[in-house]
Amino acid sequence: MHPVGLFITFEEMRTRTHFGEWELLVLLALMRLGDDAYGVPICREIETQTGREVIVGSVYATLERLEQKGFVSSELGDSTPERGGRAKRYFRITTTGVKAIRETKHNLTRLWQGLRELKGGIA
Amino acid sequence: MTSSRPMTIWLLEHGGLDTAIAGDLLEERAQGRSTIWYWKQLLMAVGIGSWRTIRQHKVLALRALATGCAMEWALAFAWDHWVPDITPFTIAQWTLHANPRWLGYRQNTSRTTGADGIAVPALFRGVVLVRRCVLDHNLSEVLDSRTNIPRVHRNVHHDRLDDNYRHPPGGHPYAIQKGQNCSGGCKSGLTRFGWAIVSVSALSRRPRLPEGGRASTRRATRVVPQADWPDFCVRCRRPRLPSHAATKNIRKKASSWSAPGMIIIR
Repeated sequence: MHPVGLFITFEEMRTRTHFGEWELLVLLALMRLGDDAYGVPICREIETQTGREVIVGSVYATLERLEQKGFVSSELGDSTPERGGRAKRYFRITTTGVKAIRETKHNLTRLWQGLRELKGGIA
Repeated sequence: MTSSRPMTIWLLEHGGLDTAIAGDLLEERAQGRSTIWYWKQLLMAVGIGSWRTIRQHKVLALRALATGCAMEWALAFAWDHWVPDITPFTIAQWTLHANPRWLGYRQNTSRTTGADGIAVPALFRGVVLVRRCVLDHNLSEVLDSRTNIPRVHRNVHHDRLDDNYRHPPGGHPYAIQKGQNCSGGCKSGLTRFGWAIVSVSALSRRPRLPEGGRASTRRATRVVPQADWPDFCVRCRRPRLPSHAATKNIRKKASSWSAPGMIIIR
């Protein structure tokens, strides 16, 4: 993603309450990792599943914004020598976040239903 | 990688991001990520953090921008109006009393050459001063010659003390000819400054006469009226008495010198 487009996306994400694509990707990666979700595994999970390069700073910015909205909580963990003595910051999705993801999935599923183009062959 | 850790942490802390990102980046780097990836991630993280900080504090950002613009304008205004146009030419004129054209400088040299304008003439002037101090004269004589005090000692070679030997053909406009005074033609700031210092120094050392004209110095035993106190010996700083002048073979040339209390010794 182009950096300018990234900034514009962040600015649009700031005010809205529903999830964008990037926020949804981060939240789903967080749910897949469970209790071992900190910066490095989240980035690797997104890269593995989507195949696109991830900016670590954008992941953290998204997670902090979601934390301010109450969808994610975080706590500091242990540190390792290869991290230069810096503690890991573990993220965990909250109940509010899970409900919001369910609602988003429900809305998207309803929109996807009945679309002939997405059933294969035409698009 | 070790040398980049402090810079990484400093950048992230000043970029408004959590230092846990620094740990993540260092961990990824240790697991085989390339240097290009590392610095790209770091700079992007700093950019995102800065953008978030500005976005969250819009008023502070505007105030900082306005303050920065005002400071820049104030500094530019001060530079244009109050800071003198420092060029090698003016520096040499003020401090070195030398014509910078000899060093290859032109008068319209831009300010960007101010650094070498200071360094090169200062080095040149220092070499000249040291040379003159060591080889020819003592320090006071050198400084006095630089401040154009027309004092020529009988035991000093005139062609070394005056400045004619360094002047280009045609003569320097402010050159002091042998045995002549600088009759107000020299406008150098250092000359005037040196004039003031030497004059104050000489007057401060001048022995004061008590009321009635009795000299207080041991050698000036003769009664001299205070109104007839024209000069003193610049070498021994004593009142110039007829017997003193006769023994020191001093010849007064008051007609060619306007400063009170100063004489030319040949």
